[in-house]
Amino acid sequence: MTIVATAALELVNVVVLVYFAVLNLVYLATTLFAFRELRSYAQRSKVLDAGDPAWAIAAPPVTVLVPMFDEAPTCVDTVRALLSLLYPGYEVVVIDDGSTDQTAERLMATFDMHRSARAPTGRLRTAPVEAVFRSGSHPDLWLVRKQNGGKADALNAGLNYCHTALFCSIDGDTLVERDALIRMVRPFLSDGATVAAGGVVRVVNGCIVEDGRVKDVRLPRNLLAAFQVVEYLRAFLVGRVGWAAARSTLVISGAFGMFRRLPALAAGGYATDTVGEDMELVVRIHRLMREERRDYRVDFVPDPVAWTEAPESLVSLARQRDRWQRGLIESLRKHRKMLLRPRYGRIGMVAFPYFWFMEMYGPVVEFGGYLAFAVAAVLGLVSTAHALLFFFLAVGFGMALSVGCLALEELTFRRYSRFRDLLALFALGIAENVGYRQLVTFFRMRGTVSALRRKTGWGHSERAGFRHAGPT
Amino acid sequence: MLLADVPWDALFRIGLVAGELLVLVIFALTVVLFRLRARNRLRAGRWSRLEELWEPLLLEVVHGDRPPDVLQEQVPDGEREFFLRFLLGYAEKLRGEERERVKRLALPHLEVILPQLDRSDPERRAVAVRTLGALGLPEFAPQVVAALEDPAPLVRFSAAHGLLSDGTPEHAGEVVRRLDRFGSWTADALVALLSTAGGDVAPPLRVSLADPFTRPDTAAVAAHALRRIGDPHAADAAVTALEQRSERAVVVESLRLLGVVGHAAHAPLVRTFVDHPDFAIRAQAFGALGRLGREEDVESLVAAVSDSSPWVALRAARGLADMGRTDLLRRLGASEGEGAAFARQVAEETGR
Repeated sequence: MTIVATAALELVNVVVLVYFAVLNLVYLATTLFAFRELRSYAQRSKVLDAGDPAWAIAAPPVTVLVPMFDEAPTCVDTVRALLSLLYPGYEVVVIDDGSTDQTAERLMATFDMHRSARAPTGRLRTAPVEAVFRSGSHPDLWLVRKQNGGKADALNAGLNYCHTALFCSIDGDTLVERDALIRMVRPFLSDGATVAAGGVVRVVNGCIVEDGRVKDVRLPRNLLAAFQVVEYLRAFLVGRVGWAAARSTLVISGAFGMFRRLPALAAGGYATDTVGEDMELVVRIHRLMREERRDYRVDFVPDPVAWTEAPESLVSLARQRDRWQRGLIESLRKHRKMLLRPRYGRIGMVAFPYFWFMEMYGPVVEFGGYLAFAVAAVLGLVSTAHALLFFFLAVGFGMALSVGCLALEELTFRRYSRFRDLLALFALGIAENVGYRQLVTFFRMRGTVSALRRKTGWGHSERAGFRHAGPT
Repeated sequence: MLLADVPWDALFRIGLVAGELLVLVIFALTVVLFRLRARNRLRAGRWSRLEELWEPLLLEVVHGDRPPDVLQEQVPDGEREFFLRFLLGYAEKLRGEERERVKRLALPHLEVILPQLDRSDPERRAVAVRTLGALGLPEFAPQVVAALEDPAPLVRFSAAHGLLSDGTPEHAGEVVRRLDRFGSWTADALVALLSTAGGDVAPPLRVSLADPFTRPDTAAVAAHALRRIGDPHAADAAVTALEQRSERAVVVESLRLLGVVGHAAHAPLVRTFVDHPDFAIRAQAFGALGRLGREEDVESLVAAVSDSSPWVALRAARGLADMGRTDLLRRLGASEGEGAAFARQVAEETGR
């Protein structure tokens, strides 16, 4: 029994070590790619200045699709921010997915909306659309009211009413910066093969919001949200930029992404049978383009920013991470045919395997490692020196990554201008490796179990609303 | 057996070394982080003070109220590049004599960025070319024109931007001759670029469009740019392109151009495209017919509102609106027919 247990624990050891080594090698590679790409991007921005009038002429019309379900506390702020974007020709189409609160009523009252005629140009199947409204005060604002069908279904309904070659999908609880669209459209202008591009999502908790704009960037007081600030910085500034630099972007956040309408339609629109419809669409576009041997590009733009509300309670965070993990697994399993297939280029041979083995199975391996350690400790099989060394390396790599990410932020965008915020971020980058990271791993584990049990649905998300400068 | 072969002791020693390196890396990154913050704060402060000093002086110099020396004296040697960046922001927004005054302020300092034209980094070359293009013409025209042959598309685009913004017909011709060298830049971006030159770029664009040997994508860009400029003399070039070429992009853009600058005599040519199998061409044909057509075209426009392509239906509906036939649109909108939704939408748009 002891021999069997020892052998099993050693096997787990090897698996965890290999996982740990590969994971950190990938993080190192993406960090180096991200560093090079961000430096290059900073220079390109001096050439392709978003404020240059030529861009206003060049910018093609865009439809901004905003699916909403029970977003009453934030919907008006979100739409106000969208109506003040610095972009020459765009429409905002809000799709109310059968909200049970006052989302549609608040929008209709605030923006003077009336029933209107708008012919659909697409034929994606969706839950029935009840009516289309247009704002009397803002003629480029539309509201599509439909029966509930889920976020993907709502986006498809929006796509059916999209009249432009480009569309941008934005979450209903997201605030977009005024120049976000004009920055986001750049890869579509500089390379006609670009079919999709993602932008940075940052945490709005703690920031001062006025008239739908973030006026003052601050760290949240809520510790959970504060940890997520570091997490998002790492995920976007290092992760997304690094993968994009390696031409291997597999994920574009549903909170903020821009797509060409035709390839998205050709791919069948958003999948309604997964909670990870944002990732699934990107994977499907990759698959379609490579199977058809078409020249294409999926890009990531590091400076158009969207601000989103991060969960501040453990319950909400657990639901979110559970959902994200389920979405990841559903998207990957749906397209497992791409795994390690040369036909799909570096997507099939690099990005997809990374997400499959490291992100999908990662929580299982990590959690298994913790469990194995506990069992080994009980059986008296733990070598203290080995355990301490491994713990130090695991935490140390995490710290190095977080500090490196903060240095990248300092080199490029420098949103947190207060020195005390920088100190706090530094401390959080260290502290998150002892406690927060393990908690997220547990939630992701639950997501894996949920995916195996074929659980569906989004669960309920609490909305606190944005923090305003004065009385609302 | 496999597990027994794992060299745990060796791995432990490697781990120790990795740990030591990790401590150094974390320490180094921490130092970099806080030094970056300190550097950025100092730099931001210094630049902010310089801008506060320069801006009022610049406005006075640009308006001709004070001589340039009064500003030049306030530019420290080590901040000449920053001064150029400062001037760049104004030069690109000004025109005429005011812009020339800004350029004269920049001229003594431009030599500072010349070495960047030889950098291996294409982004840095592009920044230098952009600066020379906006602030250094005509004195540095040879360098900017030479940049049109740079291997990097970004540099070529930057050079074109500068030459076209300068508003010299000769420079416009240099860019149009090389339109096919802009790599993957989209038509929208190239058209925007060309539009900055205004009417000066129209003659070479007309030549490009009318030439049957021009590459299709280049000819399409030329047609699009002529439409954007609203060149009243471009109709003949569009007719030539439509009569001699069949590539989708060229036909679509030439039809659109004709719809804007053409006249009734061009309607028979446009009519030949209304039954085209390609929906994009049909759509533009109906769009042009709405502006150029006569009463005899109403019937085909009405039929096209029920086209299987929503884009053809919309264009045809808008064509009816352009002809002033909102009565027909309302009737179609009230019907149960295929195109009723499009007719209703356009009727509502027209009624706003």
